[in-house]
Amino acid sequence: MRLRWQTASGRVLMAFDVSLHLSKNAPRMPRIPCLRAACWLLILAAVTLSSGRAEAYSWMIKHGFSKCGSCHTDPAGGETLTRMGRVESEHLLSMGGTDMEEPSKSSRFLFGAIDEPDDVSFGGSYRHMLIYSASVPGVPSEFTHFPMQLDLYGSGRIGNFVMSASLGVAKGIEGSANVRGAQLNTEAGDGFILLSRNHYLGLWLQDDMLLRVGRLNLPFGVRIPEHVMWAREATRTDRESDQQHGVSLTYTGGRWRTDVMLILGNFQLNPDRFRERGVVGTVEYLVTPTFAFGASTLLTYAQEDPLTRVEDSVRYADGVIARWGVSPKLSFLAELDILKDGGRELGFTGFVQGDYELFRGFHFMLTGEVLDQGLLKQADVVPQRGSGAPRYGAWISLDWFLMPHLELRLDGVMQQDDVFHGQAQFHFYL
Amino acid sequence: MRVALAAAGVASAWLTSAHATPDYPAVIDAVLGTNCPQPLSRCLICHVTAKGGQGTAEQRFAKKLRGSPYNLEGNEPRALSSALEQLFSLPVPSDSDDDGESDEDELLRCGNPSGEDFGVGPEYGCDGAHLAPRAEPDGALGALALGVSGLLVHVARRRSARGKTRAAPPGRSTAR
Repeated sequence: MRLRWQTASGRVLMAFDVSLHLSKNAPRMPRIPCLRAACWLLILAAVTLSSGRAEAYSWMIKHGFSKCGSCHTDPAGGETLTRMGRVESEHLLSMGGTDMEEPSKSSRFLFGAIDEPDDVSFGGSYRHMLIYSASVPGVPSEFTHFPMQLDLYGSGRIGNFVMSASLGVAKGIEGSANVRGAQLNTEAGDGFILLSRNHYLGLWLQDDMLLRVGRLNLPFGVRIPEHVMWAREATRTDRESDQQHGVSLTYTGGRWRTDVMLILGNFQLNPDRFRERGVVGTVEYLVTPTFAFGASTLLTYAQEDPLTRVEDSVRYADGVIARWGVSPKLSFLAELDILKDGGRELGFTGFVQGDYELFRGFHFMLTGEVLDQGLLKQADVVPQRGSGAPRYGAWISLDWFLMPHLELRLDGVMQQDDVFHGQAQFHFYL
Repeated sequence: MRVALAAAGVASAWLTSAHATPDYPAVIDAVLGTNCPQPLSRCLICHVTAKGGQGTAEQRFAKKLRGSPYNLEGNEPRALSSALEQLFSLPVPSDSDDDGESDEDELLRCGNPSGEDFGVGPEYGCDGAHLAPRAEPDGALGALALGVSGLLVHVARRRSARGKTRAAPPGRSTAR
């Protein structure tokens, strides 16, 4: 597989060879050994079933971890784990962690087979999703499964500079609106695509302030792994493929956690008129060591909305967030946002999630969510649930972190005007 | 290398078991014998967003199919197929957007029966980034590469054998 950037006249600007075959007719191209190594690692990950992304678990606040940068190289959370994150994934996240006397080597990258260099961290993620959709009269039930994620990622620091990137693959996604925002090569169809959800260069201006340029998670709302939850989908701020290119400034000093980003557009989407530009940010204040309260805002403009094709589309969302660790076993996450999409009246969305850890590593979660995307501005439209009227949904979840590197999760998703969906997720992370 | 190729094969087979969600644009293509581009934009024939989903099938064409006598529910491609066949067999052709062109004719030319045509939609991926097409295997080139490799291995072995002979001649031990 060969990824090639070329001009309209056909002149090759840059190319990465990530293939196992030779193309005798291909022009001579500069090669980047690191990417080839990354590809091999990707294959290794697929074969050994040992990949996965440690997530930004916002409920970690119940253990006093209110700031994501304690465990993640990204101070806003998600993806690559720090050394401390590795230890805490064994001690506070995984089953049996309460008995841990000292960190085991197997909790490290690649189960400790490779010692990462100082200031360099690697990770990877494989998620396989099984979905059962219940039947309705005339429509039989359905059972599907698919690989949801196969990514590798890493982060390195040289002095005050930091760089980070993720690289993944997906296949047969042409008709899907998910994944494609992170696509690297332009072909889709039934073939492979390479994708990069995040990549950035950063500069630590001071110990608690990071300036970054690149493709970044949008700092909006509570950072949760459930990318299809309405609060993430309706605001287009999930970590699945809603990232955008831009410049961000993150500050995590004292009781404050702030992240403000100037959105320059998703440059993995063409042509330019479909790119959203604007600002997005979150401010959170730690009221007590286990209770944080904050607010988020987002404002974007696109000449044409890539999903709705509404022209001169202004989209905004404003909301409040809260994270509360009631005890080391019980926590709550909450978010409520008002929405305004191009071509719609004002709407709102939100969720409340309660998480009770029955025993270390085994979580029972109840989530309630609501969505009113706003009434369509069309002549003959009447309000209906989700569009001009509230629509409610509930999730019942069991999340089991059996051991470092492994998570199993079951979700029962019930949403008004939809059938019951049962989801089972198998998650390995490197 | 063989391990790596096997690994790639396994990974490839594994990833092909991907999505099996109903693909309504493909159903429309199958019914009308078309092969229209931009499947994502074509979600907007029925839905108000290319992400689709429950409660978003609010375009005029979708409203017609949801109404009597079609009573189309979501998530069922076979029902869509029969509803389309029923719609296209009406004595007076259906024209959901009242633009003077029938729904069937608009769909046949990859247009939009719910309103204005879509035009060129968004393209995903970095501008100009392509995966190189898989080259046809070249037997002669492969045989030549194999021959050259064999020759190089043969030469390397001979040199290695000569080196060992010089470093430790028979009958002369380096042990003390």
